[in-house]
Amino acid sequence: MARPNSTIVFGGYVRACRYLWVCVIATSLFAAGGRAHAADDATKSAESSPSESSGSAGSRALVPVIGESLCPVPDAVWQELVTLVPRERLIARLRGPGKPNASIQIEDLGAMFRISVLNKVREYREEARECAYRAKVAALFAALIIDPTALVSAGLCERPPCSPPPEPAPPARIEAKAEAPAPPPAPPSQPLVRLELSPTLMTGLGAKELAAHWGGVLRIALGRGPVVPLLGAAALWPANTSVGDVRLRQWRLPLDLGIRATLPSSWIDLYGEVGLAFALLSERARDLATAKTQTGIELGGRVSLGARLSRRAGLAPFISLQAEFLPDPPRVFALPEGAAGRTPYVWMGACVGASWGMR
Amino acid sequence: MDGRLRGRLVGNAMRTRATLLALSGLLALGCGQDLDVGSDVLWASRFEGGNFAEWSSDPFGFGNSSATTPNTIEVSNERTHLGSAYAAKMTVSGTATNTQGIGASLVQNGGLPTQAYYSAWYYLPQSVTVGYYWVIMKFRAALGNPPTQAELFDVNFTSPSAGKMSLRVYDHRNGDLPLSVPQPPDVPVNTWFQLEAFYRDASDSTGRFTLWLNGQPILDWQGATGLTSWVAWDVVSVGEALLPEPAILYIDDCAISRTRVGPTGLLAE
Repeated sequence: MARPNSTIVFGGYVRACRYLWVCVIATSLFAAGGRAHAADDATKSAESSPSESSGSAGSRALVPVIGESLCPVPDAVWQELVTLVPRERLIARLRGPGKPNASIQIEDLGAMFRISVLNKVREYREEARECAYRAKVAALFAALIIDPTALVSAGLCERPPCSPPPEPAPPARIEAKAEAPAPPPAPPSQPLVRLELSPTLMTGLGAKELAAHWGGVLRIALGRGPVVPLLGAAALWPANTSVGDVRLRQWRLPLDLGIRATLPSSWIDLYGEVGLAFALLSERARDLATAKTQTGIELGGRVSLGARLSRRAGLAPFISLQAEFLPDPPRVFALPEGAAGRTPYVWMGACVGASWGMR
Repeated sequence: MDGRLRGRLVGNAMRTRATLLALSGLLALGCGQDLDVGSDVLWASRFEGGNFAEWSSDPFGFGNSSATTPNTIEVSNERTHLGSAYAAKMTVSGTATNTQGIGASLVQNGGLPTQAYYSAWYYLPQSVTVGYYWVIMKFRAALGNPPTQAELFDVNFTSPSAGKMSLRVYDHRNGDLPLSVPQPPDVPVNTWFQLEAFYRDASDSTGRFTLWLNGQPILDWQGATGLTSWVAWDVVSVGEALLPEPAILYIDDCAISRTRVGPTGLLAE
């Protein structure tokens, strides 16, 4: 019921509220009311005002809520309404000097109810038929149409008998019969955080025995813009390789830090990444007489290209290719050969996994 | 400028310096590190301790350095290989009375591997006329029935012509082994050269003896060698009828390795 755009627009009012349920409903209604040109249409309301005498006794002649509704009954709506807007102000707005003799009409439609105020009509679904709750909702709608500024400036929820929300689900708006044009739909916002998890295959180029490292990659992109910062880490299984004539068991833990630029489209988001690549590289000789495990650090640059199904939030599959370029990779040294060579200058990798966008 | 502002500026400068230092450290770490992953050298002797301690019972079970008077063996800094501090110097009389088996020797035996590469660097300060024989490397194995420790292969200096030095390989069971090169190889004089052998101990035809001079193969022989796994390797200077005498030979950077050392191989980091 409380739509995000309504909440944003009327956030200032919401913060003034003491009771959340009233705030939520009020915000939604206020937004709808705003779209319905409530204030501007007030002068036209006289034409459609039903006669007060149709269902009201003499003592209730001044009660401007009319209708045959059983749930809610007009009196209940009025009782709720006067807690939101001072009675004098209501009367002045509806029937003051120079004003048409307007009324608020409430109709019970079974699982729904309809409220008409100053030529604005709204239907709500409320299948539980909590009449008191219906009365509150109807009163709020009326108050917002009749005098929204007074309602807000007076502090909507400052006065009793505001109370916590009842158990039933809030009524769903069925239809806005007002003539107001619907505002253009706001574009869905990009996720603030995007988590990507995928299996990966990485291999270093140039080795005599090509090492294929399988593992997993976790990458986090932060921010909603087209260019966002990025942090990634991979955990890879060890693999066999060789440098020169030295056969090695190689283990690698890559980390990367960079930025991602995304080119969105209707069904595929393409993105490119560039940044720094770090890796812990551990090498152990496989068949030397005296084998040692040595760990070094790789430092270089990283580029990546990827594609992801265009879903603004939730899970979406993605695929990416990446390359890491290391200008000065570690040297492998063993006796009696001496410097056997260097670990790869270029690492290539591929990922196919799931991307989870979180707002 | 008040003290607080100055303090903040100094703090910022220190933070910047610390960040740059950390980045520099990271860059240094990430640039061309050497990963020493181990060694195939089972044992090496570089004489850098100024003694023969490397020729001991560790690690193979028996090691020894010895010379029989008037022959001598010592650690010397007169000639050293690749700028090391010391080398072994063997001086043998080489007279006809310097009977067979008497000279200077460095010995390793016991638990030597059944197959390995054996490397040593030699320096011959002058050419020597070899009247009878001059052994500079020797392999021994278990031979006979029942097997007993016996001499198997000798690598000898020869002097095919005046001022020229060369090599021959002698099999104590069958005499000289034919070299795999058409001409006897020249042994350089007054410069260091490497002699490296591959020896596989086997009682059948899988046994093997290969020899390289400065990285060039000069012998590749296959056949039965020892009857048990016992192997001995000696770096020696034992000769008879050598002129001029005494004959001097320097030896450095000896190694037993699972992979070939070669002329460019390293024995230490």
